[in-house]
Amino acid sequence: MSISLLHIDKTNFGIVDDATIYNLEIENSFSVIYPNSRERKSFMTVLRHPLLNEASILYRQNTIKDFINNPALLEELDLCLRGFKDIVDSHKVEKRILHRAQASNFFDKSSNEARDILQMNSLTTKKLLISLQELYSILKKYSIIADSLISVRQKLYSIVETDSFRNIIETCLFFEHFSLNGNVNCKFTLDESGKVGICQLISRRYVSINNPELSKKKFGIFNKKTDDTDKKDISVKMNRLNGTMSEKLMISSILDVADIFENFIQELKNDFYDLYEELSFYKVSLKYYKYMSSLGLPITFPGISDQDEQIVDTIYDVRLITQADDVKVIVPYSLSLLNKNDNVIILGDNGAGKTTLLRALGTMQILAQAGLPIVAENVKVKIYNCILSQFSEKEKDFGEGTESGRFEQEVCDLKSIVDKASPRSCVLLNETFQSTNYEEGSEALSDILRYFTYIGASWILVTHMHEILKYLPLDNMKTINLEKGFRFKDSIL
Amino acid sequence: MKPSFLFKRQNACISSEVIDDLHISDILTKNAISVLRSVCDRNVILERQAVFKYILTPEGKRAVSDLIDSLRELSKNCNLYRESMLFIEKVFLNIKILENYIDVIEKINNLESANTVICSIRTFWCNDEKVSVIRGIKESLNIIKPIIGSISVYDICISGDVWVTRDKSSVSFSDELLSNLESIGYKHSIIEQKLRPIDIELDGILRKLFENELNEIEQNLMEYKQLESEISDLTDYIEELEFYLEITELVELAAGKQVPICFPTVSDEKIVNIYNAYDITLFAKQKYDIVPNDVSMIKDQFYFIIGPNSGGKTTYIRCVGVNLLLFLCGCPIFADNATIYPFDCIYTHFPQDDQTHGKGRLDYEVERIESIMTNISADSFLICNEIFNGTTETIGLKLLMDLADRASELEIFGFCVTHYSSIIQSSYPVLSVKTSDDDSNKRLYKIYRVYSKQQAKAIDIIKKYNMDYQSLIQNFKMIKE
Repeated sequence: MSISLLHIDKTNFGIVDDATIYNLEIENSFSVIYPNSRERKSFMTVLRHPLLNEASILYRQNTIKDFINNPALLEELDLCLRGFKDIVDSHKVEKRILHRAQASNFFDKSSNEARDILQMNSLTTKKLLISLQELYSILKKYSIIADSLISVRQKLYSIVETDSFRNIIETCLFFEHFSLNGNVNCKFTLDESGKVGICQLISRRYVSINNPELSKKKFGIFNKKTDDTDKKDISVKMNRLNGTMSEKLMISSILDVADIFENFIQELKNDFYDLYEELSFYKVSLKYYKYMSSLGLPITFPGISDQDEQIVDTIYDVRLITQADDVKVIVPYSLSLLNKNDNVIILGDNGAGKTTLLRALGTMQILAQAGLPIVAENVKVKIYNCILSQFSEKEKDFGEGTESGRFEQEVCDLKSIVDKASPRSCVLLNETFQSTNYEEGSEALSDILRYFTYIGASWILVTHMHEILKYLPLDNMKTINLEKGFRFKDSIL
Repeated sequence: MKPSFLFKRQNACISSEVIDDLHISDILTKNAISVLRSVCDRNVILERQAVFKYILTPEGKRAVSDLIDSLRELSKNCNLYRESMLFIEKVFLNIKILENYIDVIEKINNLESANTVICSIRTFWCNDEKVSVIRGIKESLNIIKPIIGSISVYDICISGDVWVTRDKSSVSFSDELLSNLESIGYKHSIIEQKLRPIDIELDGILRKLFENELNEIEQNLMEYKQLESEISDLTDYIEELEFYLEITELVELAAGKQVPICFPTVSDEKIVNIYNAYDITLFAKQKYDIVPNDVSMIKDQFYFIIGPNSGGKTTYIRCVGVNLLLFLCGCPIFADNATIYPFDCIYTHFPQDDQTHGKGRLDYEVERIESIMTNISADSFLICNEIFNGTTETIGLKLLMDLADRASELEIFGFCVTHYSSIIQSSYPVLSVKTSDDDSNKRLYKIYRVYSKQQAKAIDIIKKYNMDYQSLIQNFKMIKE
C-alpha cells in the first residue's frame, strides 16, 4: 500500500454529499480563510470523504500538530515535494515529445529512439532518487510525532540509506550516457515455443582464451574474434543491416532496461507524487488554525466518543466567524447529547439562530471527521458513515415553481437522502416541508424521521412546525427551543 | 471410432428463430448454442445428465476444467507447429506438443466418474497400448529436456559485426537492476516481453551453433510422428467440453443468485411438470430477483396466456422454452424439480417488426404459422407470442382459434400469449398474470389458471415516491435482504 500523509486506509471513507457542503456553506467559510482556490479545492475533496475511525482521525490530528509545532517543516516539505512532482511531470512531457507514451510497441522503434528512451528514463530515475534523498534529510531534521510523517521517513530510510540506492544511481549514470557506438552485448532466451522471449543487455562478456600468452588476460570475445579462427564452434557471424533481426533484438534489449526504469519511475510516482497534493490539505488546515487562534477564539482537537456520547462545549459557527466584523459579539453554544439522544429537534422563533446552530453542528461533525481542530472549548463527537442534509429551498432560486412543485421537489430531495442514508448516518434537516400546511407536513416528515431512527441514523431537525412533536416519540430525541436574543449579544444577522 | 463427450449428436432441428425468440444468445455462446440446436432422444438426455452431474461436483469441475485447459494448449501448439516455417521453432513446439499430449491423456485418466460416456472415453484413451506410448515419450523427453535447456540461451554482440555465441551465464543489467530495486522494496513483476519469432537467418545460425544437440533431439522425436491424427481427435473434444463448462458456469451463476437447478425425470407420457421454473435469460439484463412459476401440462395441451402488459407473460413462455430446450439437450434446468416428455423439437413464433419480408404483418404471421404447422409433429412443442395482433379482434380471435384447433387435433403441446382477453370464453385453458389484490395493481409475475372472464386492467396506479413509513421500512428490508 502506498504511503499517505492523509490516510491510514485509503479505502475506508464515509460520505459527505455536495449538497451538505453547500448547505453548510463550508466552502464559503474557507474561501475567506484560504483564498487560493487550487489548494482549497483539494482540501474540500478531503472533507467530502470523512474518516470512519479514531485511529485515522488521530493520524491526521497528529500530523497537523507536527506542522503547528514545526512551522518551517511544512514549507520545506512543500518545496521538496513540488520538485519531485515537477520531475515526474517533466518526464511525462518529455515522453510525449518523444512520441512514445509507452514502450508496448517497442519492436517498431529504431535503435536511436530506444537509446533516447533509455537515457531519458535513467536520467529521470536519478533525479527522483536525489529528490527523495533531500526529502529524507528534511524529515530527519525535525522532531516529529505523527505516524504519517514517521512512515514517510521510514520508507525513505529503507530506500536512501542502502548500498542498492547507490548502485541504482550508478546504473542511472551509466545509462544516462549510453551509446550505440561501442559494443552492445545482449542476451536472449528462447521460450518453450522456440520464440525469442527475454532480451536483455549484458555487460561486456569475457572468455578465457586458451593461449599461454594471453591466459592471464581476459578479452571481450566479440571484439577479438574473427570468423576464420578455430573458434567457429563458439560464435557465428550474423548479418547487420538496419531493420534486421539483430537490430530488433538489440532494441528490445535496450528497451528492457528502459522499461524497468520506467516502471520504477511509475512506482516512485505512485508512492510519493500524491504527497504534494496531500500537503494542500495541511496548508489550509494550518491556515485555519492560525486564523482562529489569531482571533483569540478557542480551538481544540476533538475527542472521539466511544460511548455514543457527544459533548459540544462552547462551539462557534465557522461561517459566522468568517462573516463577522467583530467575533466578540458571537455567542457560542454548548450542548450535550447522551446516547439515544442523538436525534435533535431545534425549535424557535425566526432569527433565533436555529439554522446557525444546525450549521455549527454540521460543520463541526465534518471538520472533526476530517481530523481538523474545532473552534470550541471542548468537543467530543461520534463517528458517522454518512453526513447528509436537506435545507429548505427558500433561499435558493426557485424559478417558476409553484408551491406544490416546491413541495414535490423537497420530497425528491429527501428521497435521495433516504436512498443514501444507512445506519450511522447523520441527517441534517432545515425547515423541511414548510411549503405545505404544518399538519400534513409534520405527519409526512415524522414518517421519514421515524424511518431514520428505525434504521439507526441520527438526525437534527430545525423546524417551526411544533405539530411534529405530536407524531414523534420523545424518549430518543432532544428538543431545543431557541429564543430570540439567545444567540447574540448583538444580532449581526 | 473415438467416443464423444456428447454421447451422440443428432441433426440440428431447432431453428435460429427459436434461439432468437428465446434470447438464448444472451446467455450462451455460439458453441453452446450449436449443441443446443440438436435435441436428444431419451438415452442421450440421460447420458448427458450423468456427465453434467459429474461436472457439477467440485472434483468433476476441476478435472474437466484442467482437461480443457490442457486440450486448448495442445490445440494452440499444434496450430503454431503447422504454421511455423522455422526449424528451431518446430523442434521446440514438437516437444511442447508431446508434453501437452501426455498431460491430456493423464487428465482424461483423472476423470473419475463411473458414467458410461466418461468410462468409454477413459477406456479408449488410457488403454495399455497408449500407456506404453506415453512411457516411451516420457523417456525420450528426459533425454531431450536438458539438451533444450542448453540451446535456449545465447548471446549477441553488436558492434562493427554481429556475433552470436553460446551463453556463458552472463548476468544482465536488468537482473542487477531488479535485484537492487527489490532490496529497496520495489519488487518488479517480470516484464513480459512480446514474443518474437526468430527469422530464417537466426534459425540457420542457431542450427549451426547447436548442430549436434538438434540432431540428437530430432532422432528422439522421430518415432512420434504418427501421433498426429490422435492429437487431432483429442482436440475435437474442446468444443464438446466447452459446452458442458458453459452450462456449468450458468448453473453456478444461478446458484449464486439462489436459483435452483434440477435434472428432470424423463417421462414416458407426454407431460410437462415443472415446479418453480426460472427464466435465466433475465440474468443477461442483470435481473436476479426472478419470480419462479410452475408449468403443469398433463391433460390439456395447448394454453392461451392473457394478462396486463409487463406482467410477465413473455417471460413465462420464454422460461418454459429455455428450460425445455435445456432439458432436451441433456442439461440441468432452472427449477426445483420437473418431469418432462422428450419432445422432438421446439417451434416458436415471436413478433419481430423487421422480419416481415416485405409482407403485411398479418400475412407474414399467417404464412410463418402455416410453415410451422406443416413441419411440426405431434411430439413437438409450440410457443407463440402475441401473434395475429395486426388485425381486428374478430379476425385475430378466429385465427387464434384455428391455430388452437389444429394444434389440438395434432395433440401438440404449447402456449400462445395473446392480448385478446375474450379468448377466455373459448374451450381452451387460459393462464393469466397475477396482480396484487389492492388498488395498486402491482405485478406479482405469477402465472395462474383462470376459469372465468377477467379483463386485464388498463391503468396502473403507482405510488410516486414510496415515502410513507411502511414503504420505507419495506424497501429497507428488501435492500437489506
